[in-house]
Amino acid sequence: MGAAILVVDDSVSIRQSVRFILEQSGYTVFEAADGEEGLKRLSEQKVQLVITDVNMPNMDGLTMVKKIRETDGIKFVPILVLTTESQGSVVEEGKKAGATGWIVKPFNNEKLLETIKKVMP
Amino acid sequence: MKYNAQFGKPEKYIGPGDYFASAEDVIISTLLGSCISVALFDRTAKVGGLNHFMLPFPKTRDEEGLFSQSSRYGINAMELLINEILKKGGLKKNLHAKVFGGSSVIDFRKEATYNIPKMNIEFIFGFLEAEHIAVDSYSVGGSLPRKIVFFPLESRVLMRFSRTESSGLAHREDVYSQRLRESDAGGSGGPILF
Repeated sequence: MGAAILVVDDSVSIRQSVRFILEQSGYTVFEAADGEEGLKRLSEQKVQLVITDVNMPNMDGLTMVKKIRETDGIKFVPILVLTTESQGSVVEEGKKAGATGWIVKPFNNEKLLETIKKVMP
Repeated sequence: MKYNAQFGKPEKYIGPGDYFASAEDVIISTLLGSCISVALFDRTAKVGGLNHFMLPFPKTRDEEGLFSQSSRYGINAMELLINEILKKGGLKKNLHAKVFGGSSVIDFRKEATYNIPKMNIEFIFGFLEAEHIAVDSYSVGGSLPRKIVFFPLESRVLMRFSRTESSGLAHREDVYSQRLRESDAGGSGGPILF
């Protein structure tokens, strides 16, 4: 079984298309539809990487990133933000929250996989 | 925004690749050929938006369905519009859609292996189904351009087929399609590592 990745996005289409690419490359994929569900997943399942959207209902992605960084046991997991947001101020907010990297959609398969390899422990 | 005297409201015209959402008493309009426009709205929050997009021409024959790199461009066009509506007070679970476009306006003879309008139409219905967004009405296919006028506050769309401007439109959509192909359907800047 390949390294485990948690994909957090409120869009089913995006979760499915990211899952498809990651599974093709041998990763094991878990999904969550918002930040709250993402944190719940992380408390149950050990993963080596989190990929998250920003704009989501209930709990947005950057709030989730902050909470992960405050939680023992998961605070060091690499987090890639995958979003439509490209504005400098939002990217800066992501950096402050503790994200590891930022990718603007629509993403390119090769670039996503390359970035994952760079940040995975 | 220019003023539309016929309806007595400000009008925002969107071209290929654009989107616009509003919670104000305005009109959002476009002229469509083989591209797709989705009028997306939350009736309760009285907010809505319109986009105008097409999927890039697939690079390889096996690149089809919702998982293809081309589809990802469409998913992105939809997500940009959805996020804009949510920022203006809409709720994702309340969203409904009206779908237009996908007519055979562009001359795609040189790319006879693909039916671009059909690919666009299949994509958008597949996407809306996957996202559980109800389709209230639609008008797709055929060979005539469509003029769309959307009233976001009322969730109302006026559509008529257009026989004029068809050559200019075909040209604009062709230029847009070429631009998409060259941008590789995913060149929005490289990843940033902090």
